[in-house]
Amino acid sequence: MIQPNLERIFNICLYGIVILPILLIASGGGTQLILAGVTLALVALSWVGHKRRWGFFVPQKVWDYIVVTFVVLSVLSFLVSDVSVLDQAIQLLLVLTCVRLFSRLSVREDFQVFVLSFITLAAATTVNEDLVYGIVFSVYVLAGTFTLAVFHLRNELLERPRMAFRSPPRLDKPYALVLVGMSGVVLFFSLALFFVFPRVGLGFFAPQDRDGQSMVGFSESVELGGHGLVRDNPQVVLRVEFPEGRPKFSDYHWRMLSFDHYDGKSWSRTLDESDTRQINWRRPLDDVYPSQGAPVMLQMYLEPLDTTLLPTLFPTQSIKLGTPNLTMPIGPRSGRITLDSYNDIRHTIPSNVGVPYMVWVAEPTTTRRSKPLDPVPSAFVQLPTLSTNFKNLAVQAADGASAPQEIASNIERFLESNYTYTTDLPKVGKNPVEDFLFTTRRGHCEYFATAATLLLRQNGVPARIVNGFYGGRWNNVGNYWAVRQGDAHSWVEYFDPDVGWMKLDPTPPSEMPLPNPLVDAVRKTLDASKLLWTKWVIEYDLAAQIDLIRSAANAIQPAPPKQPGESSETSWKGLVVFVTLVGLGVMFVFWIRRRRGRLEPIQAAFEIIEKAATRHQISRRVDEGPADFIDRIDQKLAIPEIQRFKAIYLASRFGQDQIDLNLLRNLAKKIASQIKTSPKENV
Amino acid sequence: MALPLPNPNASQTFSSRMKTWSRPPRRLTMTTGGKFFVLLTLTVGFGAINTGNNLLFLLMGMLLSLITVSGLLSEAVLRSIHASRKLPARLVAGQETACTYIVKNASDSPSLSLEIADLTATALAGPAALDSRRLGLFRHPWWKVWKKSQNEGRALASAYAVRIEPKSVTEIEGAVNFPVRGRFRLEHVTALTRFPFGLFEKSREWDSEQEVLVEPSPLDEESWRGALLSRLGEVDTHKEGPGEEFFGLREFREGEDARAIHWKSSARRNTLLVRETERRHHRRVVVVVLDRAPAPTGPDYDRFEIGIRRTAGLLHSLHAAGFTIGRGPEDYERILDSLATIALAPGNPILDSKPADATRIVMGLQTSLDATSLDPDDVALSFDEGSS
Repeated sequence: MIQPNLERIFNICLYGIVILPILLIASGGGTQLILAGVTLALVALSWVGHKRRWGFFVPQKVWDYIVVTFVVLSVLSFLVSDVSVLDQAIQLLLVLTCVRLFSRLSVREDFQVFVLSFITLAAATTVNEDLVYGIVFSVYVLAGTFTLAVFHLRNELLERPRMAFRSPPRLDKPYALVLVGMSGVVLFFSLALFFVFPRVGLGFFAPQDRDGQSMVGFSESVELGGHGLVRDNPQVVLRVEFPEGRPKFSDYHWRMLSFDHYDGKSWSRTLDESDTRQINWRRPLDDVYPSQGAPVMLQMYLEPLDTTLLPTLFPTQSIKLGTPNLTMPIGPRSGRITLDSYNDIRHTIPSNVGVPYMVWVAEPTTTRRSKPLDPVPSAFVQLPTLSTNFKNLAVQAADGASAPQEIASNIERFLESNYTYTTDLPKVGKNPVEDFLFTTRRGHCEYFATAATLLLRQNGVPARIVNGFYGGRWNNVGNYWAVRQGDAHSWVEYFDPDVGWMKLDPTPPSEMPLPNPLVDAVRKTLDASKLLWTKWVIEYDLAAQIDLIRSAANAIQPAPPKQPGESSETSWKGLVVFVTLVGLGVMFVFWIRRRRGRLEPIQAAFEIIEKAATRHQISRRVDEGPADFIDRIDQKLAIPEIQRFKAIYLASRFGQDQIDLNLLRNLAKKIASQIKTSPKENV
Repeated sequence: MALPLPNPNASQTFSSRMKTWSRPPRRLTMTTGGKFFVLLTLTVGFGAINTGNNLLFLLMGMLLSLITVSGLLSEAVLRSIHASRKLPARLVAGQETACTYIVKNASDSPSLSLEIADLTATALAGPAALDSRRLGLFRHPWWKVWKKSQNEGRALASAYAVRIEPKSVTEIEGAVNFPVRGRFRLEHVTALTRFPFGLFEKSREWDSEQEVLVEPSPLDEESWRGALLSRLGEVDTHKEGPGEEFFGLREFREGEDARAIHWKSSARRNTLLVRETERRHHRRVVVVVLDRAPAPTGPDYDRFEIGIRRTAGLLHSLHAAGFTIGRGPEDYERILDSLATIALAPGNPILDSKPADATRIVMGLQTSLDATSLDPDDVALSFDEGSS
C-alpha cells in the first residue's frame, strides 16, 4: 500500500492513456461502435474491479482461457468470413487490454497495460490518420509521460514500503510540476525528432498515401437533367498560397476538364485521348491562353482526388510539380505533367497522394496576336439536332455581332439578363437545353454553360464546356485560398483565332447565404489545422524534409547586398516581436533572481562566502556545517570580520533574529573580496 | 616563500590511478521495463522505416524522446550531488541495521528519486575471504539483454530519497545488511537513479574506502547454555559486597540505608551495627575456538559457520549472565571481533596452556576436538552436536 493520492493519480492517468487509443480507433472506424462501447464499459467496470481486487478471486487460468478462446474464434471467423486481419488484431488488443485491466495485481501487469495502450495507439495509425490523431497523440504524450513518471515513483515506493508512509507527501507540487514540465519537453522532443529523422530506408519509395476524396461537386461527365450542385459541401479540395502576391484579377476559374461533344443530353470527349504532350515549365503556354504582364506564382496543394486532373487558374502560363525549394526527380512525388487536345492538364503521380505544384498566372488579355493561331478541331463546333427556335434564339442572342468576342459577350449578356440561376431544378424533358431556354428558364451552371456553348457554336464560334471550380474562400487563419467541393462549377471556353482560347462564364451570380461567423471561423481554423497536419505530418517525406532544410538555409543565410537606390525595408513586425521576447526574458531572469533573493537572502549571503572560498581552494566538506566551515576559513585566512558574520548569520538563520539583510549581504561581499585578495600561501 | 601544495594523487599507485582514470563517469543499465521499451522502439522504428507511415514516425519520435529526456533528467539528478556514508559501529551478519548517507546537492534544482548505496564490498577476512569473494550487487554488461535482470544480488547498504532539495546537505536514512560475517572493505559510494521513468538505471560513484567488521549472527543454543550454567555455577570471593551470605558486622555509618542495620546485634552491643554480605562472583571463563581441522570437507565448513553463530550466541548468554569472559570487557569485544573473522583452515589445532583461575571452554568441530588433548576441567562443546 502506498500513498493513497499517488495510487489514485496513477490509476486515473493509466485509464486515461488506455481510453484515448480506444476512442481513436472507434472514431477511425477500426472497430464497430458497439464493440468500442462494450470495451469502454468493461474498462470502466475494471476500475471498480481493481478497487475491489477481483483479480485475487479469479485465477489467472480463467483469463488465459478467455484470451485463447477469443484467438481461436478470431482465426475461425477469419477463415470463414472476409474479416480483415487488422480488424481481428485490433479486437484482440482490446480484449487483452480489458483482461489485463481486470487481472492487474502487480507492477508487471500495470506495465503490460501501459504497453498494450501504446500498441493500440500504434494500431490506430492504420485506421485513423485524421487531425484527431494528432490531437490524441499530443494528449497521449503528455498523459503517457506523466503516467510513466508517476508509475516509476509508485514502484520505487512500493519497493520500499517504509518510505511510503513517511512524510512529507511523495507527489507534492514541485515534483508534479517537474513531471508536467517534463511531459511538455517530451512532446517537444517527439516533434523535433519526427522532423529530423531522415525519411530514407526501406520505405523510401513508399508514398505517404491517403484515401482519395470522392468528388461530390466536380464530375468528369456532364449530364443535364441530373442532380443539382452541392453548394454547401465545405470539404476543401485545393489550397492555394500566394507567395508572390495575388493575381490582378479577382474571378478565379480553376480549370480542370473540358468536353467537345454534346448528344442532346450529355457531354463527352471524342478527341484522341492519347494525343498528349509533356509540359516543360520553362516554355509558357502562350499558344493556348492569351495573357499579358509578368506572371505571379501560385503554390497549390491538391488533396488526393479520384482523378489525375490538375486544377489550374485561367489563364495559366506555366506549371510545375513540387515547391520552389524542391521538385522530386524520383520517388512517389515525382511525375510528369501532360497537356491533351482539350488543353486539360494531368499529372502522373498516384492519385492517393496529395500533390504540391506551382502555377504561374498572368493577366488575361484580349489583344490580337500578330499571327493567327491554327484552326481548332471541328469537334469544337459539333452541334446536336436542334430546333428552329434554338437557331432563331442563337441569332437573337448574338445580336448581329460577327467577331467571336462580340458574339460571346452578347450571348453572356443575353443569358444573364433573361435566365435565372437555381439549384432547385424544375423537371425537364428529353431536350434539357431547349426546355431550359424556352420553358423553365431556370437552371444551374451546367445549363447555362451548355446553352452558351451551343449558342456560340450555332454562331460559328468553336467552343467547349469546361468543368472545374469557381472562386473559393480566403482562409485568414492559414493565409491561403481554399477551394471547396461546393465551389464546383461549369463554364465555357471559346476560340478566337486572333487571340486564343477565351473564357466565358454565362451563369448569373447567385445569392449565397452568408455563413455563420462563428461556424465559419471554426471551419477555417479546422481546415488550416488540417492543412498543417496533412502538409507537415501525413505527407511529410524526404522531399518535404529537403524542402524544410532548404527553407531553413534560406532563412539563415545572409541577405544579398542591396542594389544602389534600393529602399531599405525593415521588418518592424519581427523587430518588435524580437525586442518584446528579449525584454520578457530579461524581466523573467530579474524576477527569478529577485524572488530567490527575497526567499533566501540569508542563505544567499552565506553562499557568497562559500563560493569565494571554493574559488580559493577551500571547499566545504559534505558533512561540514556552516559554523565549522567559517571557522576553517578564519583559521586559514584570518579574515577580520568573518566571526562577526558568523554570529549574525547563525543568529538570523537558526535563532530567528530579525537582522538588516543589506548589512549581512554587504558584510558577505566584503569578506568574499578579502578572501579573494588573500595570498594563496596561507591555504 | 610559497610552498608547493601536496599532490592528493601522490600516494596513489599507478594501477589505482589507471583504474580511476578508466572508470566511466556514469554507468547505465536497462531495467526489465526498459528492455521492453527499447524493443518496442526498435519495432516501431522498423515499422516506420519499412512502411513510410509518418504516424509511426511520430510514435517513434515519442519513444526516442522519452529515452532522450530520460538520459538528460537522470544526468541532471546525478550531476551536482556528492554522497558519503555513515555506518553504525557494529554490524551483525544477516541483520538489517540503520545507516545514514549524507548527500550534498550543489545544484539549483532538486534531485529527484535518488538512491545512494554501497553496492559491493571486498572480503578481507572471514569465510568470504577464503575464496576472494566480492559481496553485494553484481551487474551484467548492458549488452547482455537476454538476462532476466541486469543486476544480480542486492546492494549491501542503500537509502532512497524522493527529493534532495537544491543547495542542501541532507541525511538520508537507509539500511545496511551484510549476509555473511567477516571484515570487508567498502570502496565506493554509489548514487543511482531510475528517474524519471524507471526504464534505465544511471549511476555514478565516488571513491570512499572504509573497512567494516561484521559479527556473526548469534544463534541461541539452549543445550549448550544449560550444560554450561549447571556446571560452572558461582564461587566465593572473600570480599564484602552485594550478596546473600553473611560476611561480618560493622558500625553503622551516617547516611547508610537503615534497612541494613542488624537490630539484634545492635541491641546486644548497644550500638548500631550493620550486617555485611559476602560478594558473590561468577566464574571467569576463557573461550577457545579451534579453527584448524584435519582435512575439512564442505559440510565441515557449513557446520563451522553454524558453530560460530552458536558460539556468538553462547558468548552473549554468558555475558548477560555476568560471567567474566577472558580478562574482562575488552576481551569480550576482542573475542567478538575474532569471531567475525575466524575461518576454518586445514591443520592440527593448537591449544594453549590452560589459565589457572578460569574455566576453559573449548569449541570446534568434533574432528578438531578429537585431535586436541583437552584438560579434564575443560568444557568441550562440539559444533557437530546440538539442535541447530
